[in-house]
Amino acid sequence: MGTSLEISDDVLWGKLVKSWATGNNYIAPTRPAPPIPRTRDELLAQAAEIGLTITFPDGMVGLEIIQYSGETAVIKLPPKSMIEETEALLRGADALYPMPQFYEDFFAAPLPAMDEARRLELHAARIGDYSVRNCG
Amino acid sequence: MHGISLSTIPELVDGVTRLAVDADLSGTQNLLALTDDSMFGAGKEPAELRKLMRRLAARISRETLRSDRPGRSEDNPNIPSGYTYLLQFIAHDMVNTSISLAATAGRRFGFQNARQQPLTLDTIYGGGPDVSPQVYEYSAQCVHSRGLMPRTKMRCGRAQDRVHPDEKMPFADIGRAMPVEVQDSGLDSSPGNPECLRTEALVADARNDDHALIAQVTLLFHRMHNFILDQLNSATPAKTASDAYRNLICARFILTLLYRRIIVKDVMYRLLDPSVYRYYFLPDINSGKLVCDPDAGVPVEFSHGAFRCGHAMTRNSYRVRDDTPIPATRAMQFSSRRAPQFVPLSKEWIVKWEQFFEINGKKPANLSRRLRPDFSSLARSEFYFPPLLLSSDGPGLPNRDLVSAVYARIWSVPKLIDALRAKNPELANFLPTYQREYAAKLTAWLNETADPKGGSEQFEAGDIAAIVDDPPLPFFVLFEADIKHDGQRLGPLGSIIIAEAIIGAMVKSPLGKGPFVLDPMRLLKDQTGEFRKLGVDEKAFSVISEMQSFEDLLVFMNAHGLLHQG
Repeated sequence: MGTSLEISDDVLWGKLVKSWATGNNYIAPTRPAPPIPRTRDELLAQAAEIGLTITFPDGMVGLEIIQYSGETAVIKLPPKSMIEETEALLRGADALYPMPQFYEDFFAAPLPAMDEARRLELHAARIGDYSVRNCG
Repeated sequence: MHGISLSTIPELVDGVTRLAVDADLSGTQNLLALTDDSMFGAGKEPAELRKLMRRLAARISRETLRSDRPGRSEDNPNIPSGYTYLLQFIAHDMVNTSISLAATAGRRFGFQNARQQPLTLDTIYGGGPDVSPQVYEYSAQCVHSRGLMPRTKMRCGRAQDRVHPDEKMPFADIGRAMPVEVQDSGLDSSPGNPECLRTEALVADARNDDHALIAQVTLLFHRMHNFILDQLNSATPAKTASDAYRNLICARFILTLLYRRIIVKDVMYRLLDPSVYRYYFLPDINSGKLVCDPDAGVPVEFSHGAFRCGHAMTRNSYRVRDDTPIPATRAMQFSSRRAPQFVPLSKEWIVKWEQFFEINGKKPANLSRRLRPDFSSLARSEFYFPPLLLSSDGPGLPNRDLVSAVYARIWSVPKLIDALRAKNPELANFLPTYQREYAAKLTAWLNETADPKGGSEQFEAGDIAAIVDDPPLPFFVLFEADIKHDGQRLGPLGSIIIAEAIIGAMVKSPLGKGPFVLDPMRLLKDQTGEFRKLGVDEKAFSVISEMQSFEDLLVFMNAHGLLHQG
């Protein structure tokens, strides 16, 4: 357990999500798509079955999976406490923005060091983005 | 044993449809003479076998389902994580093939083990300063002699602080260089604003730049070479080019001697089955017991089988400098060849070696993963190790190792066990027959985690029987280690293969020639007479201790300020 949700393989996780959303198995195309899990245990079992490890932060016990239609605008609001925790982290003197590593790896470039104001701007832009972005 | 990605050639159009024993293994050999019907996959279509390996790799990935069983720890208390990368370093010093057999579907065009002097630290010395000058410092002595004096000290490079890029960091990385005004299409060479990236690792073996941790191990050897050379230069100053070459070569002999002793007394001791270790290494190296011919080269059962066990030892994360775990995937970013935007090494990855090796009896923070058919998410990652053939392969190193075994013309496991027992009845004392010891357990293991409704690839009818009948060696070695020693060390077959390869390499490339011969098992101080023959003063050896383990080396280096150099 820790303080953040950890997923052992971003690509594999994305394939699992795409499989749930489309009904096509993106991990082993000849196999049936895994059903959308309804509980945390179901999710963990499915993940382990494909060799994926998910670690939840302390106290995160529930699971909610939302699937919506293209006609509905869905805005996902993150918890207030998580926003504030990250803001505190970003205000640290030598803080680096905690960008998921796959961005650096896919673009083959490290995230540059930024001053506090830029880190908080990026934080706001990213929260805004993933609150409304659907896919792609 | 080749580079991670760029040392392969594309699949040839006419793929191999039947594999047969190949007499010319180009610097490698089979452990014992092989016949067509004793080869792994004999009589099977390689392309179909390759798909079976993908299904086996999927089963290996499902080992995650078993990872939270009570009492099942992935940490190996017998082998700290530093050995994972020391083993990789040793692999680079044993085998250097230009292509991956998995990538070429078995066609041997261009396949060659270029490592002709295994275990002589070719992997750091390369061809010496005249062939591999990038490894060696451009010294003042070289400048003042118009280049007539050879470069003899090894390069170390400055690390970086990403948050405070102007801060001067220590020389805690391998050397790295940026090409200037070259016609590289990957570099923007706009006038006035050229793109400056350190695309060149200043090491002898580009594979030692594969990731942060192997580069840090390489740096240790560079520093230790420089220290030994300083002692030699101090005791017997190099006034001429000939003197300088002599001191360089003597430094290499001394470092190689210590390195070989560490391999035998520490690395093999930890890794191998105790009975096998006693048989081959006690009370001394027992080269008379070898069943393979050392002169014929490294056995493919080593390079494409048993020594792949190191891939299972990599962890998901490491505590590099303190208790904060850093994902192991981050280590992969530091490679001049693959990702020059990220280098030099950032300070978070300047290794504190007490975190990776047991020093002064203190358990390190990082233990290797147990030797089992169970791999870290990094080793299984599609991003780092994508399928070589999309139509046949799955992602990850385990699948690659299995595919390599298909095409390497290696022994079938049950037949190799029988052949070894027949060749030398002494081996039968600790090498049990396959059917009696493993077949039933392997059947049970393969059946575990099967789920007809599962989303991962499952075995097809006949697959399990086929694998039990003829398991691929890289997989079996891990399975054997799990069964025999709970994954803390290798089992008998894996250990025999590695002992044969390591001793064979030392016999093939002795330390010396003619009247000058060194023995890594004898004390260095008892062999100073050999160096006197070369005109080296004994004073050079006065501070070099008789180290037996990597821990001893690190303690020595720490005592002489070699681990933290400004």
